Amino acid sequence: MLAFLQRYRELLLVAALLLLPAGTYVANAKQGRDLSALDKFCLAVSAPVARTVDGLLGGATSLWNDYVALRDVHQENQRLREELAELRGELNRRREAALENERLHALLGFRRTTAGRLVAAPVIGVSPTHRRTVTISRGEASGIAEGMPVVTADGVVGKVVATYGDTAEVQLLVDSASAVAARVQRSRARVTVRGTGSESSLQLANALRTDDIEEGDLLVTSGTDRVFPKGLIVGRVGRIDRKPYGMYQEGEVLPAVDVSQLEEVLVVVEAGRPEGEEHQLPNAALDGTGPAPVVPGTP
Amino acid sequence: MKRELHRLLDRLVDRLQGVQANLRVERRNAQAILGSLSLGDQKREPMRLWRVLLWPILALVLYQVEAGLLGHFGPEVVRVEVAVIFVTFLALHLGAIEGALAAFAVGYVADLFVQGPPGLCRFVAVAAWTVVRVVSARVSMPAWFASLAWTLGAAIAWQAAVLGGVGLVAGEGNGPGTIAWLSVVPQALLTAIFALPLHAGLGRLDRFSTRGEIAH
Repeated sequence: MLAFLQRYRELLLVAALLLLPAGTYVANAKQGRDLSALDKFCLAVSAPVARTVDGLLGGATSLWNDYVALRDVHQENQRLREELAELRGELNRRREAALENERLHALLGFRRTTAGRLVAAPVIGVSPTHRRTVTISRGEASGIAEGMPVVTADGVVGKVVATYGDTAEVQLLVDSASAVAARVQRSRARVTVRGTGSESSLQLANALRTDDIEEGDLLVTSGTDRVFPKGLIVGRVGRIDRKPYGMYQEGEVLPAVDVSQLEEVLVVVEAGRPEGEEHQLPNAALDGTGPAPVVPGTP
Repeated sequence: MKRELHRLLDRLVDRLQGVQANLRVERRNAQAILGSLSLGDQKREPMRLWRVLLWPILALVLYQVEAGLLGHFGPEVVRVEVAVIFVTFLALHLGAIEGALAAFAVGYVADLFVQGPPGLCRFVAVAAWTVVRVVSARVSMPAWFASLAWTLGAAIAWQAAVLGGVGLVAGEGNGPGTIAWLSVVPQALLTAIFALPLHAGLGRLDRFSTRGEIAH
């Protein structure tokens, strides 16, 4: 027997190594797998290998993502910043062009509905002193002379006070030395609107206490000052101070034109309407729901 | 008949002990006794316990490396069947007793990671080792191609056997899915490709450990 085992030991070993697990499989096939102490030991001892590999790969991945892959990011970032700045500039230029287009469109509409000759001029300078004046890039060469009214589609801006060849200085309506003869559009009451030096308010003057003037009334030029054509929007009555005594009432006028945002203006070089005629302006700057502003008539 | 059987068993023992096979004579005898079970020309290496343990330990380490890789990259990555690479190496390069025991141990390691029915991978490992050992003795081919071809065939058989074995005992609808079966061939191909460098490395380790033993 011993000789038999010795003689066929390899065959018997292989047979045993096949039968043993086959028997284990058949016996435990339907049972859940429970790890033995040896199984747990083997897995526990070797588990650090998996953790090390995972850690090394995680470190390598992190290194790659955080450093190597970011090597070109600086240059890309710089390029994108430049592109962004360029695109922002382009966007800004387009916005400016759109806004300019809107303004010029309004001016063009105003000009088409206005008789006489108008000269468009960009505003190129603002007086740094206490005086409220601006400089425009048209002057005597364009037929502009002192005393000519300056308007926008929104209303009265001021008048030319000096010309210098290719430029002219415009005294704004809000200047404290400025005044314009006006009329309440609703009641036709005559008043004078004076500048106060403030960009946001004008003074209502020479209004008789008995005149029918209310807050919100639209004021247009009367043409009686021989400077501004008749019918241009001056502003809207703000606060009214009507005292129980005295000859006049006082008040505040909100200017029709925001002079702080002037960029293009029209100089009325030659007015062509007969006196007393009023025309509707295409742009109701002060009140989108109310009647449209009035175009200039003859002085 | 009893005499023929004894002759067959004697030849099998001769092969396991490293005696050269006379294929011409065996082939003639095999026709007479329904085929031969020669285990082929094998190394004459004495069985040493530490070398038997060396291969499953290496397999365990490689399985854990693979587990780390899969843990990082996700389980959808096609896996390499580490156990098959070891089993084919053991069948092609090691002695019979050492190889059989090591294959069994490698199967045990595979059982730990497959988490299937206990004993399944051990049985498949020893069966694959036996088949590769018996059949490879009758086919002559370059070493690198032997590694590639035997590993490819063994990997396909291994996975089919494991998936089938798991499916047999799994409940209704709990067996391996279609994706698992579809991944058999690509997984076997990847395993065979990885077998080339791994078999070379394991061969160097085998020779080194043999010389070390002799030096002592």
